[in-house]
Amino acid sequence: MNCEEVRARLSEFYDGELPVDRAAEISEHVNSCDVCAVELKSFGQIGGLLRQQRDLSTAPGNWAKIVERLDEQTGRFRPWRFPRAWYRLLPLMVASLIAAVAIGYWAASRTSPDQAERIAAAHVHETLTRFPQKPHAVVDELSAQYRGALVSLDAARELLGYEPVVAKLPSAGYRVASTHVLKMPCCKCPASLCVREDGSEFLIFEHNEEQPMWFGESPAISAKCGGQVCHCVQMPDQLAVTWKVGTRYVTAIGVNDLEEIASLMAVVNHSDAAG
Amino acid sequence: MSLEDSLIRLAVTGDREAQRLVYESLKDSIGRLVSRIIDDSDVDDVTQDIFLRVFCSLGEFRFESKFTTWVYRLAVNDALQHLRRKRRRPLVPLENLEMPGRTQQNDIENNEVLHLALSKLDPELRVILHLKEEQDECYATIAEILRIPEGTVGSRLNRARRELKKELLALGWGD
Repeated sequence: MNCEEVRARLSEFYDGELPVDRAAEISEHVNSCDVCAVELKSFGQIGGLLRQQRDLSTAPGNWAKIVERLDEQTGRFRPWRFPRAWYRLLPLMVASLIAAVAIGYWAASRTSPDQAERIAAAHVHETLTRFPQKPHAVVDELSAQYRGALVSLDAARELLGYEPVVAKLPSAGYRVASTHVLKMPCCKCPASLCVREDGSEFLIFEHNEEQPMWFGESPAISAKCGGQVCHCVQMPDQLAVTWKVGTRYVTAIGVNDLEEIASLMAVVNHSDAAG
Repeated sequence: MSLEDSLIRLAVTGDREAQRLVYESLKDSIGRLVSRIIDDSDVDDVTQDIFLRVFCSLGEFRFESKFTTWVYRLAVNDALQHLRRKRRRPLVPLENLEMPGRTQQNDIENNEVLHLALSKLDPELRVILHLKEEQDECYATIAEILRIPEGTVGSRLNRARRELKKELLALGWGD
């Protein structure tokens, strides 16, 4: 073996990791080569130095600190065990559970109007976040949830007692693809799917009260547009806007940008639309 | 089932006494391992974090390898991660530190020279030297802890020993 080959295997030789025959070859070389012998000796000296290093003593109280931190996390990490004595109480616990479910069901069926509105708002928020990806599915889902009726604009006027603002949109180049009248907790609410010239869609609602809960925790700003206050909401992948028209509120979902908000508001507010 | 296995299974259930025994049996070796990778001032905090992670992840230990190998692997990983995070913060260049001159060599403890020389090595080289020279682990275990091929262990140790020797000589070692 030459020096280069030996040097490549010197640690394995020193650490006793080589097969006997290979170790014997290296041993023979080292005994006859001063350079490799010096290198092997230095490995031994370095090992001795490293093993003599002062011991690290762990700071007292470390275990106490670890226990403290483990206790903080116990709720999340320690598996919960059912105490053995509780098995005797199992029939009573099952009966209590059934009673609790029954009471819960009864309570839910007597949900107050406020609660019903909050639950509905949370549901609307969750549904609307999916509008950019699946506009038709969102309209169908809202219609199914709120006993919606697919109607013409004339029929909507009759059902609602006023003309929906979307009747004005064709004059600005938009098309109304469908209108559903939804029976929402707040009111009868028209939801119209509108189509831009490029085929993309947005949704317009009219309702009696502002519905900030429809937008959850999404960032929102209040702005003035053409002298009219509007609330713009940044939802995932889309903008939404709400503004007051007469005695009602109009909400548009799936708006492209601020320019489009200004354009929609200008069209809808052009004359006295709401009664 | 070995006593160690029983202890670990008990520790998994959250038994504090079993956890304490595991901690007592490993604290010195883990503390030393961590101190070879990171700065002294952070050793206690990082060691604590490692034990916290060990006890929170005990359920993932499959009893397929040695328990110490599994813990060392977690420890090396966490300590190296700590080092990487810390490196993002500005460090005082080693060259700016007060260095011992050759004339003062006799006054300096071997420990200090070694500490300084080790600090100039890559953390990966410090770890492998520690696992071999201080923990006396075999190449197969070192490969498992460091997640490297067994054939790489020897060549990395060659490099570590030669670089450490070079740094020690530069500090006047052996004069």
